[in-house]
Amino acid sequence: MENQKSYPYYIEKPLEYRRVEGFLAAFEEVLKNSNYRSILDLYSRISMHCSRCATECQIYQSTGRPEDVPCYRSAILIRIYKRHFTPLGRLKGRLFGSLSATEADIDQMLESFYHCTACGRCTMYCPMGIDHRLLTRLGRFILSKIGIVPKALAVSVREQLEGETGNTSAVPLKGLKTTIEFLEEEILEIKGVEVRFPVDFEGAEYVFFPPVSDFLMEADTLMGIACVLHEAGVSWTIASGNYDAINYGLFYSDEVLEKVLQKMAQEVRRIKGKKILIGECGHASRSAKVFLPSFNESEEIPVINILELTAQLIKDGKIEIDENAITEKVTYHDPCNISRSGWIVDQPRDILKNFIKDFVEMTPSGRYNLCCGGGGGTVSINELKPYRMNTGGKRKAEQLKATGADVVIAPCANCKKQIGELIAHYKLPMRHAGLHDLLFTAIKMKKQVVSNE
Amino acid sequence: MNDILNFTTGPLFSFCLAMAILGSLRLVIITIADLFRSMKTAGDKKLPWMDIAIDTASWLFPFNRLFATRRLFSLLSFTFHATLILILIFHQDHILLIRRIAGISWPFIDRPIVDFLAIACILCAIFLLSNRIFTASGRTMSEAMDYFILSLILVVLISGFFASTDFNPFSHGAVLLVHAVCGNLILLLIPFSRLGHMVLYPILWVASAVAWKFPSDSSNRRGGMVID
Repeated sequence: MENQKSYPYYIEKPLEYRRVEGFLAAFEEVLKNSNYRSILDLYSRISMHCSRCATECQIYQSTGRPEDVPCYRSAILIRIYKRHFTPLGRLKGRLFGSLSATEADIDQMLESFYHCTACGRCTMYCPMGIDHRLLTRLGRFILSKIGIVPKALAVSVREQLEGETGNTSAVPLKGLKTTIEFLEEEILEIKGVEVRFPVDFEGAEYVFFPPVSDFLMEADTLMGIACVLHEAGVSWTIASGNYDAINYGLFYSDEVLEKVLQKMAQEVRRIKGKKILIGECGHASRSAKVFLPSFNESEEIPVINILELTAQLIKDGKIEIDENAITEKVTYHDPCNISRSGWIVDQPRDILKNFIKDFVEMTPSGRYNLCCGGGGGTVSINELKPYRMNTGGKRKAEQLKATGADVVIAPCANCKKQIGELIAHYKLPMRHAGLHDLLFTAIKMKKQVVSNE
Repeated sequence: MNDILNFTTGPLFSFCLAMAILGSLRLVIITIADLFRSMKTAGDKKLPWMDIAIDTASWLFPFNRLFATRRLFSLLSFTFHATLILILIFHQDHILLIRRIAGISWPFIDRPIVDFLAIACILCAIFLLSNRIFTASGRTMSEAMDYFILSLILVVLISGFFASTDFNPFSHGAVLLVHAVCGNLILLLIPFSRLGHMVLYPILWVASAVAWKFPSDSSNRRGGMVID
């Protein structure tokens, strides 16, 4: 009789037995075909278990569970590596017969690695520079090879890579075009200017990849972006073959990461675009910016996030903004994937100071800002919602409340969803928005000429 | 007793020191070789050197990080490491020991100051050990080796302090022997335990950056699921 395992999230093909053997075989395969061995060796030699990360991890601070200490979680994987994949570990195992990977380890990892939001904040406080985000990702990667990956992520990725629509939200091209028409009409009605969302405009400077969910849920963000690009006379286009920047590979699989990026580069080549422009999305920006060069050696395609471009356009005087359009008190949430490295911290603030009079920073902010509580793909896993709300999200809600702001800007599809849910869950007296949502309200439109056509 | 002491501070010390140096050298070389191997297969060979340098320097000299989080822990942990390094390198007796086997020497720190540093170091080590024992997160994280290494260092510090001051309530020879034996053991452990962080520290941030540099053919290398 097989043991019925319970999982904290839905998975498609749950293995009920031989999970340990499967995990070890997958681990071995990953080690054989990657460069992870060297970092595991190094981390196993230097991890001092000082628990400094525990005080900065908002998940552990909420749960108090040892499994949620970043170093503890990483230590499970490191211990299995040492025991099964190093000569000394194998010898110790034979002599003492202990410390082998167990079913309990698998249970602990499949839960713990998806409790982590991979925000990377713990690494900033680790005196040894141990990148727990990397180890969380590696743990998830190995688990995915034995079929343990949240169904929500697996289904989205399958649709993106093998499905008819080719994107994570299954938005068909016809649906995209209808949405675009609707958005153009809205802009005309609200701003009184004809603004087009160019599709398949060959040779455009920027090929625009938003998180595809924006077409379903974030109309204001897209309209704001279109208005900015139109007003500044930027040459841009959406590509009909791929209009989704979302890359769940960043959260759990090297293979998915590569395939999604290859698909993106292929589409840019098809319509002879010059640069990739990512919309308001943290993980999509980081995956394209940081990892496209790894998988696209043949040619360099520059990647830029919309916040960078908008900041530059404002600096160059190409956009005029009504500085009295927004009177509410505004705060800014730094998405982990674009802020932790210091890549996009100043640019959004540079934009905001042009038209937000009442701006308040969160504490902490910038590179050290708290995660929204839904990072690492967890926001897409609906069954984890209660967990997201009551752990990392709780700390975030307290932080948001302390600002006293009326509006919280979250320039990331994942963060927007999580923060929106937090506001509802904790009944916070504020609303959330993308940065370009506010710009859509504040931008002064003059140009009547339709760009790119 | 004198014969054992002479052996421990003579040939045995030379052996342990040689093991520590050669073992550490091996550790650094294989780690750097691993990094080169990883970079060779990496699709993207650019590394953010400036960020790496800033991170490394800011942790090697963590003055602006001391008060960022866990202030007491950070301050005492830093004091522990700083005083330990100073005592190790600039204690007069240590320099004499090195001069005896290698013929080189350098200026030493005066005795009262070294004694002060030793007391500070001992207190910090006691704090760090207590932190592992008495706090929930410390207990959760600590393994037997963590307690062992810290206790060993504490024994070396306390025995060394008593051996070099007039307040020694025990036999001078016995205390010195304990100090020398445990000190030698620490030297031996450097390349084979977490004490390896002493020599690997400057390359930790480079290594983490390299770990994110995936092979360009990642998806072709790996096939599908292991168990379908």
